[in-house]
Amino acid sequence: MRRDCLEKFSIGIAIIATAIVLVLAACTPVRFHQKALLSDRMLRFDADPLGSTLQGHMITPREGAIGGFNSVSAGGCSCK
Amino acid sequence: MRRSAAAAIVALLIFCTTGYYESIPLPQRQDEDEVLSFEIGYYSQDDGSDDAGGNESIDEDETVFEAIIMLDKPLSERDRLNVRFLGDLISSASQTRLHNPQFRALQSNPSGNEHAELRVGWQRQLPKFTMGYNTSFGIETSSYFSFGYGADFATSFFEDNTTVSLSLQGFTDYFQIKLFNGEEPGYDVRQTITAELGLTQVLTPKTVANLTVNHTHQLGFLSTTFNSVFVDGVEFTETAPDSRRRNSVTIRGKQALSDINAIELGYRFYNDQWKINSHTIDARYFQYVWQRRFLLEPNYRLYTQTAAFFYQPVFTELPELRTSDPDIGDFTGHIFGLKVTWLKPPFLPKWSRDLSLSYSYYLRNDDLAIYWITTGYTLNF
Repeated sequence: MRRDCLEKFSIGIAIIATAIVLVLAACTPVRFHQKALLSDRMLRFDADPLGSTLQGHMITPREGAIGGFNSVSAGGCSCK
Repeated sequence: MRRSAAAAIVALLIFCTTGYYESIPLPQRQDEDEVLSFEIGYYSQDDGSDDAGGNESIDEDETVFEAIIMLDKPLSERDRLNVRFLGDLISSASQTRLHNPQFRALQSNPSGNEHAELRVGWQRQLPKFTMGYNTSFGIETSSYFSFGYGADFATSFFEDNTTVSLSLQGFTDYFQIKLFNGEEPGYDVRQTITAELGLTQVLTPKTVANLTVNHTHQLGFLSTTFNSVFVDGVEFTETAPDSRRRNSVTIRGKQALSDINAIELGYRFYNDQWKINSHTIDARYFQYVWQRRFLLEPNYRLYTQTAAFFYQPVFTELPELRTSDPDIGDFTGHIFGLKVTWLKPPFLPKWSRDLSLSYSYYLRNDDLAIYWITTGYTLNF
């Protein structure tokens, strides 16, 4: 039980720390004219939403884990 | 403690939004075109010539053919409509029990030979945020119905370097229970609610990162209806708990190496109420070739998980909760893939945007081998 609590506490701290680090990075903002490369599809996380969905449908039913890497969520399927 | 962590994140985000929210408007959507996309996939699973892969007691060979069509259409300057139709054809021997040859002819039905789903979404872009709603209906061979409903919200600040998104998605699934032995004891319901919080941060002109926290709660009949376990050669139904809380934290980063290539690294930690812990590492490389006419994306994914607390490959006695489903057993898997995208192919109509082809191979240490091929085609009007 104590180990479980410690694990959850560590995960919570890691999430908060990561969020803070990411948000603080905006203290030196990237200006609009510097974002040409960021708009390229190779740097976008949602460049191919349909391909990502299909990939998720292939992988997700075969694994216990879900979330994060694609838009597929649990439910909506009779198998899992 | 979980509530404290969630409260801290929400407080942090509220602090950020209230400080910078008012002064910086969101940019208007750049792509106002109507987009029509097609994606087709073929999936094949092989558990070896002697069916020893995965669950050794059953044949888990399976093929799936899936097609998706999606239309994303602007309705006005602020509103967009998104309609998606999805269809599956499943040919599965996974329910062909080696110990129950008399049921072989029956057992393809519970897996759902045909599956279809229609999803309709609407999104509105307001000056400071975007919000959307969606609803869906799914059906499988008259033995399964699913109703989906969801809402999402996103806002950007810090000169659009920070984007925060929140989505809620629910599914109510009704299905006829069809057991491994062909019995049909009636209908049951499964309820699923998912909340996902995302934070995307531009770090440099060449670097962007994303943090996603996902919580899913499932209630009701959570067993796979046609799954079974064996005790001394005698087959019994699978029985899973009627509640499952699932959590995952994912962090991904993309770094441009030059104007024509980039890398992406991602890591996910997952745990749930069934004591499954999992780690996922995903690595991708992007390379434009031939004057940016093609984009190559080789990728590798490492996945490992521990078993659910009620999983055993073979049982010596019959516990109340039991499963031999290898997908919630302990295993490690490696995916190797390559995707090639042809940007604006000259032999296709001028409104074509891209044509893609991908191949992925998934090898698990429980000797299940899987591959899938997908092809996609996108048009802009």
